[in-house]
Amino acid sequence: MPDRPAKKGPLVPAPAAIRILVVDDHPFLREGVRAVIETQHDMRVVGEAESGDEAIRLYAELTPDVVLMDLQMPGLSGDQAITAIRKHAPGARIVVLTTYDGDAHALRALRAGAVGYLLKSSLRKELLQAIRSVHAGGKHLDAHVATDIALHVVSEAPSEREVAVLSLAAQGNSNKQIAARLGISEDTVKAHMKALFAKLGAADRTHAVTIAAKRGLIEL
Amino acid sequence: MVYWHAPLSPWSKAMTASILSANDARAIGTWRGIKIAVAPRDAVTAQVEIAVAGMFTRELTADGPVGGLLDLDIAMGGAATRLRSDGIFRAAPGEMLTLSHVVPPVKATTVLLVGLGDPAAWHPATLHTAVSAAAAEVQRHTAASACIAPSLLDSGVHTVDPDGVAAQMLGGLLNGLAASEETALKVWIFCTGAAHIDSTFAAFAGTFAALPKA
Repeated sequence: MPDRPAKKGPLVPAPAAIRILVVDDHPFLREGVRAVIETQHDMRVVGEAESGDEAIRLYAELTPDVVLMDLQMPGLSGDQAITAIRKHAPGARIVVLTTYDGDAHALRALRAGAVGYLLKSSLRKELLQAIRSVHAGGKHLDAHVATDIALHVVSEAPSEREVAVLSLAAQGNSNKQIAARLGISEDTVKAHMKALFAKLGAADRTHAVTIAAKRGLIEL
Repeated sequence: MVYWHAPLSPWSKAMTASILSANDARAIGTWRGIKIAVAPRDAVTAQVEIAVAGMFTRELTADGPVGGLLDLDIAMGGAATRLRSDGIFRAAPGEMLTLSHVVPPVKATTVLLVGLGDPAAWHPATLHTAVSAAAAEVQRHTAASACIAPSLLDSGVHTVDPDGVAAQMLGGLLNGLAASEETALKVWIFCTGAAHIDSTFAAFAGTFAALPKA
């Protein structure tokens, strides 16, 4: 077992090392994860990808046991990459490793088929435990993220149209401009905004954008 | 299988005694260096590193879980039942979901949900699968202490044979522990309601005493 001194003498044959693919657009992060994993005798990094597209290609090529996947990357996002990988390999074991603790981010990733969701602030020990857990068939979630999911889904989720309205508002568009962009009336935009305030518990437009961004409903 | 455990140091003995005392636990015996006990605790109140809670695909009670399982769900903001209803944790027999960084009022730092399947199809052997999976997972986490609350009564399963349950749970524990040739585990606690502590202790102690000695 890891983090323990190696024992001498005849024992049961050591199981094959867990083969890991690290997906993140930041080389420094990939190097850090690799450095942590390479301290363990029961796991090894078999590949690194810097985008969702490359992750899909390398998964097919390397068929790793576990994938550590960032969410926000240039091109294909982590969620999209998870969906694509699991479409061809339903048994793929993918752990999200992200800075996003918003409930919407986590739900999207888990619904896409991720079996773990960890924050990059997680301790080294937790990352290693999560890799072993998911490799053994389990799932691993940060409890804070799990609680956030539970708390927010109790409230009614914003509709796709409402999220579109808020995304345009976050880009600095007026109600009139949003109406023109979406091909709806200004009154309808106002109605969507009012519904959003209620669903998000927001006091005003800026507050709604802040809450939605934090929860991962919109990207800024 | 070569099974390894370090001889208990005075510090380990003191730690073990402290955990048992903090949980008002009654020891039923020691298995390869691991003290096994029964305690009037649940997944919220047990003072251990990892608290394991059994969970069915649904409850037989109309209003969802009660007792310790309800307390656990409330303590985590409804996460347990929400993750299940969302299909993220389906509670299939032996399925596991680790929740790390758990905060008070849950005393443990990690909660492990283990699936028990459909309550209508429940059988004591289900517990063998679940406890075995949980024990193996606890070993992977290199935890020194753990407990399991099967949540049978909390899920509306009342047709429980204490001896049969004890035999399956103990068997599952030993099977799960055997999956690893070394262990950091010092204490394993079977949780039960305070009202059932005497009968549960008697069932587990009797079953343990009847085990072939290692």
